[in-house]
Amino acid sequence: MDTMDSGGGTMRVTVERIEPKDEEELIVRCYDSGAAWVSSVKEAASGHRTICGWQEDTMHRLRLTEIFYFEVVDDRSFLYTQAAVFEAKEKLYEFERLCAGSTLFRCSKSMILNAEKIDYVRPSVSGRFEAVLSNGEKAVVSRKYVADLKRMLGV
Amino acid sequence: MLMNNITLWVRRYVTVYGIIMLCTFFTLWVRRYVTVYGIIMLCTFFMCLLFNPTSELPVVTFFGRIMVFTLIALLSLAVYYSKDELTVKAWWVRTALHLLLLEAVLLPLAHFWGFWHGGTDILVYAAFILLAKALWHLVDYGLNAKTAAQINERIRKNRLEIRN
Repeated sequence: MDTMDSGGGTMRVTVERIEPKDEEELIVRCYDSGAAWVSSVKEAASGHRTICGWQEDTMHRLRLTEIFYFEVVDDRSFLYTQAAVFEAKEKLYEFERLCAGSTLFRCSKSMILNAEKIDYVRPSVSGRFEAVLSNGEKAVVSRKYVADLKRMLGV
Repeated sequence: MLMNNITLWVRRYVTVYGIIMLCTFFTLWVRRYVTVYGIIMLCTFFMCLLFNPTSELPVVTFFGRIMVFTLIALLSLAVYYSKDELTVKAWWVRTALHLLLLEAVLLPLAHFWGFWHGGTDILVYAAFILLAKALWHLVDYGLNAKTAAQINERIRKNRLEIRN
């Protein structure tokens, strides 16, 4: 086990070496699960996770941190990044499982949204929320799933 | 012995899980019930104040009837149920349907209980049902605006923290 002080000695970082047969895991001990540094750690941890997106016959490997949202339309799955759309082979529940522990969360019956890409949210007359993303796109967040977003941000 | 213990603890776990789920579900619906009840009471109060200020109120019967009205109003929310996510247009259509359903059920019931009598009364009563529904959506919107403000504040703080 390696222990070191991060700059200023404010936080101890512990790295534990494990056997190759064991599953790698990151445990964050914090006072505030919504703090920016916790989000950064989550993002870094999920950054190495990738998913395949297809554009015509070309396969692209996308990092989870690049993805703005994942949506299922007419039984077909799509991945949306800053300015491009890719088709995905995964079903919604498979993608949900893949992005567990990351900043992506289920926001409606057919969509998974990256909380890090939300610019701001506003209430909608239909009793739901509208999330305006950093690329200007809008996504609907159902009331049922807004609790997950709040939990993720530590509200 | 071990199997029995495991079964016992699994059963306990499932029971506690069930109780928590039920409590969460009921808390949500009790809150909605209280909100709708309050709105109906307010509307009725103002209606009586404006149109029949000298009437005597049989309190227990009156409160019981309002409770039935509230129950009907909540049950009629089933109109909004959908397997897929409702589009904004679909939401407006169902809102109109819900209003029609409320008017169709509550007006005859209110007449049966003697809440309205004449031709003008029915218009006023129908307008109050519309007002109560609008108030319900307004309360809902207000609560959502508060939640949105909390989320936005958190996003703003996180951004500032990252920048610094």
